[in-house]
Amino acid sequence: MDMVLLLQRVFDALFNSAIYSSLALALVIIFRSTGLLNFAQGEMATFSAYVAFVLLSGAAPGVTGGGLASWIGAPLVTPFAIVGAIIFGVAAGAATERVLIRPLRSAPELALVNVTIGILLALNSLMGQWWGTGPRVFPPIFPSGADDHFPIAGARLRFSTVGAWVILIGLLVLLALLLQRTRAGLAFRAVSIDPVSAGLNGIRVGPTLMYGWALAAGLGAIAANISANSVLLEPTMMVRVLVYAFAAATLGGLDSPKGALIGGVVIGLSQTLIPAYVPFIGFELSVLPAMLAMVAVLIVRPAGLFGTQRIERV
Amino acid sequence: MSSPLLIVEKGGTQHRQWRFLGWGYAVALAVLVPLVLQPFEIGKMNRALVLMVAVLAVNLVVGFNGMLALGHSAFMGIGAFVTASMVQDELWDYWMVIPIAVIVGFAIGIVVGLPALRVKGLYLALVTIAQAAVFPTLVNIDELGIARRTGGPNGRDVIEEVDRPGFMEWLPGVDGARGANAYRYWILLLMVVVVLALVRNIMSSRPGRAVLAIRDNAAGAAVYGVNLPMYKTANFALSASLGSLAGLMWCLDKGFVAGQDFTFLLAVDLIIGLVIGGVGTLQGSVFGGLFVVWVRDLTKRISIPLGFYNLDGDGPLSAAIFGLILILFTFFAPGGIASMITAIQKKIIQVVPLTPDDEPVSPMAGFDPGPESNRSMWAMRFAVAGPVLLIIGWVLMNLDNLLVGTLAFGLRFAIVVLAPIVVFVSMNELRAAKAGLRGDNADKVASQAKLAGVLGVLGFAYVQTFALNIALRAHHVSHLAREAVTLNRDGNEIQAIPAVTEALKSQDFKGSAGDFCATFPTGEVTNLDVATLCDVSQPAIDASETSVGFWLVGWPTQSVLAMVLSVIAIVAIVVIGLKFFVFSDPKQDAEASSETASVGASSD
Repeated sequence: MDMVLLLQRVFDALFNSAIYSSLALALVIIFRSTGLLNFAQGEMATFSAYVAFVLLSGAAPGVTGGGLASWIGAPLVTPFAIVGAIIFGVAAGAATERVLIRPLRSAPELALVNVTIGILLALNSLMGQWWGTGPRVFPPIFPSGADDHFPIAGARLRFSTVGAWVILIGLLVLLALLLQRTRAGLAFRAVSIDPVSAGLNGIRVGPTLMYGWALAAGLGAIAANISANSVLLEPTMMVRVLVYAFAAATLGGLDSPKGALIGGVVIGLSQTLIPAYVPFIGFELSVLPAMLAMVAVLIVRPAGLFGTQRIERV
Repeated sequence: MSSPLLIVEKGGTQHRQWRFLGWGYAVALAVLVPLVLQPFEIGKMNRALVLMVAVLAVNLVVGFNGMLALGHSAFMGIGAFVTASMVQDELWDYWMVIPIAVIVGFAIGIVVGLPALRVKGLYLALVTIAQAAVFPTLVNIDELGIARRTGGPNGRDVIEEVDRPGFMEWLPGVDGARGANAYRYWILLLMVVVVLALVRNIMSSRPGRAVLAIRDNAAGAAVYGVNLPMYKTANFALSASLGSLAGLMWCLDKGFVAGQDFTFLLAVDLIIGLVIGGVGTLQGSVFGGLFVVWVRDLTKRISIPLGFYNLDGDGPLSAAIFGLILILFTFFAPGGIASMITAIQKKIIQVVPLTPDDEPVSPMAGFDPGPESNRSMWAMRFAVAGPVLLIIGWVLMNLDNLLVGTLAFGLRFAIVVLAPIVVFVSMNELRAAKAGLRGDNADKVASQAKLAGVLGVLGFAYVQTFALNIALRAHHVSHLAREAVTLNRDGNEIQAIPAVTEALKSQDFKGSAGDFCATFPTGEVTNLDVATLCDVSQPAIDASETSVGFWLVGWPTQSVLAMVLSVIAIVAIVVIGLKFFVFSDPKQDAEASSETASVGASSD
């Protein structure tokens, strides 16, 4: 087996892994706070990427360097637009929880899933209406020219992959600090364990859940902004990614952030490596091994690798 | 309305009348669909029928067994490809493929269902979503001859012809111009009815109750000796086989299968149908199928000029409108359409259950609201509301706007429901007034009830006349058109039947050749055919013009007499029907007489 090629494939897979991990992390946060599968997670993320796109291109769609660039200087435009998009994503996530999810607290689980499906359809079609259904060119966040890579043992580790992972790990550290060291994090953990008791102890449950949604939407926005360059910005950009992120979150355990991270890596690697080395599975079928890996893990551990095993008292 | 307007004994005369009415309406609607709708609309209805079975399949697992399995698009796909392969490659007929599709679905359901025993809750939801996501790529595999059978990425055509049993020619709509879609409609409807009856019976049988018990309390069910793994797997497999059957119906309806039809998005549609229709109810699946197809269609045709912005559904925005409707719907009816209807029905009618001795759990007399009852007042209000809404509906219809038109249709439909309620309530109130239950208000109640009753009966008669009239008119026109076209094509000379020309000019087709063509399947009739028919109109009177059907069809220009006759006929039919099928309960009659006797005795 060609080790350089293998290493190269692993490096390539790691970029996707980072994206899956961050979206899976967003799903996990929402699952922990509201016990809900957010089907709209991908679409909310894509919307944020479009916001960055609009900030970047200013008045003339498709033209980077116009609009904003004229008054804050070209080098600052990209970070500014992305931070703007993330702030927008956070605000939109919080607003979604407040307006669409909280009023339905007592509704059946599936009704809430239906609401997120409604958001998915609505956002997807609004993006198509406003920015067209065709793909748009999104500027790279990290240097992504032909030479922008670290040569490691003959394979190329691209800057964008390293950048994605640096951001992802930085976010994880921040998130861990937030959850473990701050009062808001403590409240969030308390609410996710038992909302009723948390409420009785004086924690404001609603705002805490809103906080969870805001965090998740922010993570999604970051994932979309990182990947928008490589997968091309279009309304359905995150649909496929969402399916993989679902698989990653399930594989790692729906309530475990660590699981989401590792699940993302496993799914990303198996999606790239297995079709490359198993002749039966062509690249058309790259979705299959990832899903089989997930099912295999779930059969052995029904709550995922790191998820809390549910023990019911009868 | 503090208490329901109608309080009936379970299985009693009025309860049976109420249910008779409901079934009657359902049958009438089912018959009107292939007669009145345009062919492409019948096609949409066919799609709704397919989705009904698919949603029911999901419902079987999610609603009845409490397992969140959401990837039934894959089972539909399996059924569809099995059917396509059998029909196209092996030249089997659809009827013969049914058992194959069901068995294959069942077998695959067992295979998929076994892991599902271990994986629970949202984890299972995600696994099944993954299944839905994987399926479209599986059909492209070149090995094992899969791609050859499935057509690979290009999909494949499936012949839509079914062996037509002789009796099918008798079904409404099949022999007319809409035949091609109508007979498929009847076949699909037959399948839906059979599947609904099957699931209903299974769910009320011993295994079905075990499945429900597992949903409500798995540990409790196990304690009572329910074999959890077996029932869960069997139920899952049954659900998969229904999904597979829905796939077969899909082939029959669409005539084309491709992996791209059975994606994650179809699974999402099924979830929408399940939740909007009503989780865990049979009728919910029916409403769900209708909702997904028709509301989607509605959002595509919507157009609202907002002044500053033209909200047009004919583009990417239709999905946004649909999403908005979904969210709003979940806000106002989180339990779905089925629970909404149940809630409304509870305001109107309350069914008192029976003890094992067939006695009401508490005496029926105890439910009477007494002298201060305002039921007759409500009957009066409903009796007036029906026609008023009808007239408002007629007026709004003329605005020619899709949204207003839909609203207007709803308003016109109100009398269909209101009229029989009025008849029921006013009959009860008259009886109560006579029996002295209304005390000093007896006269007032009786007069109100009489007036309301007359209005109600008239309204009910109107509903039936209207339905019969449009049915006959549509049948007649489509039949004549088919005949005329056949003559036009087969004979050397063009022979226009005046009735056809008449029909063309009538309001149904607004005199436009295009509209008329639209009543035929694509390509069967061209504008030229119709134009020729219209031009070469001959004064010769066709034999069909003298038929009874035509007299009804000509209404209102030709005969008020026909309307009167049909009202009489309908009333007679209804009275005879009620007399023989609904009223004939000796036990009930005996009780009623003894009741009046006792009332008489107590007033002495």
